[in-house]
Amino acid sequence: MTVTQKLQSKKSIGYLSGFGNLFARESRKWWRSRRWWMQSLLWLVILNGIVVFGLFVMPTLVEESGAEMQQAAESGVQTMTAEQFQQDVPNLLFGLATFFLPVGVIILVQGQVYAEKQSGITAWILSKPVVRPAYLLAKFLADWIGIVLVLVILQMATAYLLLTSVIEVNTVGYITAVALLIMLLLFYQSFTLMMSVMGNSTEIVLGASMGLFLGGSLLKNPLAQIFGDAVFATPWMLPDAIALAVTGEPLPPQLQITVVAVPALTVACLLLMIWQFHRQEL
Amino acid sequence: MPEMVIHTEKLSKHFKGVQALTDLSMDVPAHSIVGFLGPNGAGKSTTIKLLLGLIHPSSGRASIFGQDITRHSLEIRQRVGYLAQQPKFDEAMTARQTLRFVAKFFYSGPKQLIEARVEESLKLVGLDDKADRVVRGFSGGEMQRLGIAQAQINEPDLLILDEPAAALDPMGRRDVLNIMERLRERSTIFYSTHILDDVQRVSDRVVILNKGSLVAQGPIESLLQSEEGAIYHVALNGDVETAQARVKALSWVNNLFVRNSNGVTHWQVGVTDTAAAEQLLLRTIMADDDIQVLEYGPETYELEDVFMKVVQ
Repeated sequence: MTVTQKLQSKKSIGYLSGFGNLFARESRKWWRSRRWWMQSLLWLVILNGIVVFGLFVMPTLVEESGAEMQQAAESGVQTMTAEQFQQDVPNLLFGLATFFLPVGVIILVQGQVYAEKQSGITAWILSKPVVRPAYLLAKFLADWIGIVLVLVILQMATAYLLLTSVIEVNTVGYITAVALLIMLLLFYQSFTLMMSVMGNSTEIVLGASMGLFLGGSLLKNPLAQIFGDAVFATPWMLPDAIALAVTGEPLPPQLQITVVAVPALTVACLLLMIWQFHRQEL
Repeated sequence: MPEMVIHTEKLSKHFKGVQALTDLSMDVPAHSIVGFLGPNGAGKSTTIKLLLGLIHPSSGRASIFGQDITRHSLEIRQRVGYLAQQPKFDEAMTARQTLRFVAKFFYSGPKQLIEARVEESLKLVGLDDKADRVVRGFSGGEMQRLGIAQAQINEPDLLILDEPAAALDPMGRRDVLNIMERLRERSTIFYSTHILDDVQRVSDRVVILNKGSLVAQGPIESLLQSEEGAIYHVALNGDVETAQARVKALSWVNNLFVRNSNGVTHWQVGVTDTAAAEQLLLRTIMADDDIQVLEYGPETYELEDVFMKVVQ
């Protein structure tokens, strides 16, 4: 009796045929390579570096230059005390996170599909009993878990511990801000993955994704003047919602539209990506 | 009528402004080795990709194992092994991890038997000593061997190989042909190639494409025979004049070329009626007792002759 006669064949019929195997492969890229600790270290330095600076270094500098600050205050220049600096660190943290983390996510995700399509790996995988959505969703989910755990949870939990050791933090507001940050990153992950399916070069994928992010961030105010409240249905306003949430203040109705619109846009990107990939020829 | 594993009917494919395949109708019988031939750009890889569902037909239809390639692609791929023209794998994986990854699309367990299957496949292609090296450092030949190993890991009913011997040295080519001969016991093999000697050595049938259209298909022996009726070669000793006149007078003989070499007379006899020739030609020649027939038989062609003739 040969080995294969005893092997149990998979019945690969279904909407997610091949997903488990592909998800394991994509997860290996995160957890069985240098990626997880390099990303952890990178974002610890960038995000928690600024927290440490704001909480421990900046107050010392302020105190050391007490006389100069006093003079400046007397001459009418607006100054901050060491405590005020420390109180402002959560806002600074989320301000940086909403700018740098989307850039990191776009760079991490951009080559996921088009690079494999060009090399022939996608055709190789799809010559096996694999449905096309499973190929995309495995990438999406494995990356999402990596991004949430390494780029968000690890960083924000560390920052929370640092912050609460020095200042009082509105925990509910902080958790809400983290949740909204995840929502923001999820949108840029979906959009970049969609572009990676549609595009065929780094320039196109990176250009479109970065263009959407940076262009929107820079132009949201002029656009708001032209399009009015319609701008609130874009991901560009989500950093404003995050900045408000971290203080514990309730979101105004316009930003509540943003919180509903961004997940809807994320789902639209994913559906468009799957539809487009179905039509593609490899 | 033998069971057909692949059957296509007027299968066509055009890409933006380019007609890559036109009305391809072909059959691949079960348990055969079929060489798929054609010059570069003839449409071979397009056909293979259509069969695997990687691209979609513009018109026409095709079935594998009796199942439509567009509606039942997943079920078909469960029973097919595929080697791409330039196989590419995840470069961070080792050969063993690559085969394990592929095996898990087909088998759910038990784990030790999957590992045994992987080991067996590595040995089959002679990569067992490089099993734990990452694919990134593999040569073209090693990549090709790994490609064959992964293509057969599920013991497929149909193996589709796109130029399996292209990147291999003569030893590697010989090994691949031996593997293909071994695999034919359980699989039908449909493979594209440019190496006509290999086709003649291992294939039962050939399908020849040119500029996206079918130009010939069939058992290899019948293609190697002349298309304009048969030509018989006869080598004779003795006085051949009378016999030559008798043969020329036969109604189904349309030409007779004579050549002398080292005292031996060689005839090339073109006939229009093969059945009559088989029955009467030798008898007519032998009717003369003064003649010795040294060689007799239908002229055979090399596949290269046939190929060049049909694609030019």
